[in-house]
This record gives sequence, structure tokens and C-alpha cells, in this order.
Amino acid sequence: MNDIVSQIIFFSLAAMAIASAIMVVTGRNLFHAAMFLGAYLLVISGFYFLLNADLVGIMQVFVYVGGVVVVLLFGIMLTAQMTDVRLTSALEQRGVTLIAVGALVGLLALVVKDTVFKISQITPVKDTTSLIGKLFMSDYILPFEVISVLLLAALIGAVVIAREEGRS
Amino acid sequence: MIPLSYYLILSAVLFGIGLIGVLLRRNAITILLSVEIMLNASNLNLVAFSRYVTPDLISGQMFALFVMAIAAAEVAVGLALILMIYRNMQSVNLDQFNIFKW
Repeated sequence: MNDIVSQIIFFSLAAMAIASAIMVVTGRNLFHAAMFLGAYLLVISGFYFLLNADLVGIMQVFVYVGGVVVVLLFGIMLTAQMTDVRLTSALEQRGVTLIAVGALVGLLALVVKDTVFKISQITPVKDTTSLIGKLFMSDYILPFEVISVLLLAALIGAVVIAREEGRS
Repeated sequence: MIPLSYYLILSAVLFGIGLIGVLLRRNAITILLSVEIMLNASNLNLVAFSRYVTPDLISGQMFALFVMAIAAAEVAVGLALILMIYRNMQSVNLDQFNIFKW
């Protein structure tokens, strides 16, 4: 892929990501906000494909768009009258918050601009799936096991918390 | 090739948008959505570093996969908590969640 094409792809994906993130944050309708979050997650998976991380991109579509967004939609529908609640924010905080967050982002951009990163010229791994599988079973075996226990604990905890009390 | 700093600045901007959502909105589910935006912005950072700095050992992608698993667990537990509080208080407005205040 030549330079100009990847730049066009990058900037259009970036514009879509920023627009959909702003729609999620400022939207008045929760259902639409969840849909825009799905769009945002798809755009992020596009960035992963652009960065040669194909397995992470596929997992992004599976886990986030297929799982997390659906669970969030269930949550929104189960708390039904929330969708037409007037979603207002505390006005007196708005100015200070925007200034603080803007300053943080500006500071980060300045730091990134002035830092020299060691860019490696090695060609990236072509077959990431088999390498990730091997790494999961060798170098990352302990975090892998820990995270499976964590997921089990989180699922059981979610069921216990959400179950209605007084029914055993 | 796109410079690495473009990705880093983009993910800083996306993180800032998510942070604004967490700080300004008062609806618990909107805050959960904003946390997802922030987690994805940091994931983009990890994958970009993995592509540009160490393309041969893909540790950044491994970390991104772990962050995804944590985010899935976070959404499940967070929604369960929100549903339970909604059942008790008939509201998801964080300004009314003052049951732990004394």
C-alpha cells in the first residue's frame, strides 16, 4: 500500500472515530449513543487492520461489537424509561472540565511531539494468529490463566449481584 | 508510512473525549459507554507502539487482547450493579446515588 492511500484511510478513519465518539458523549438518546459506540468500535478495528494487527481487529469485532454493545443494549432496554429521561449535566462544572481535559490533551500532544521514539524498520509479523497462540501458551501463560479466573469470577459476580433478592 | 505520533495524538484526543463524558454526564450507562471509549483509545496506543517499535515481538497486541478481556468483565459487572441500583431506586442518575453518604 503506498503512502498517500494509507494516509487517506488514516484521516478518514480518524474523522469517523472522533465524530462517533463525540456523538456517544453528547447524545441525548441512550439507544443512539450505544449504536454510535458500535460504530466507534468498528472504526477502531479498522485502525487495527491498518496497523497489521489482524487478530486483534477480528477480536475487536467479536468481543466488542458482538458482545459488549449487545450487553449494553440489553441494559438500556431493561431500564426502559431511561431512554426518555432528560439527560442533563451539571452546568457549573462544564467550563472547568473542558479546560482541564483540553489542557491534558494539549500536554500529551506536546510530549508526543517532542519525544523521539525508536522506530524499528523490521517488517512486521505476517502470521500474527499463530504467534499470538504460541505466546499465550508459553510466555504469557500465567496472565492467561489469571484472566480466565478473573472472567469467571466477574461473570459469577454479575449473576449474584443482578439476581433478585429473596429468591434462592 | 504514517508517523507514530499521529496515532498517539489521535488516541489522546479520543481519550479526552471519553474523559469529558465520564466527568460531565450524570447517567450511569453513558459513563460506562465513555469508559469504553477511553479503554479503546489506550488499546489503539498499545497496538500502534507494537507496530512501530517492536514489530517482531507483538507484546503490544497481547496487552491489547488482555485489556479487551478486562473490559468485557468490567461491562458485565458494571451493568449488573446499575441494574440492581435501578431496581432499588428507579433511577440511573448518579446525583441520586447517595445511599453510601452519611
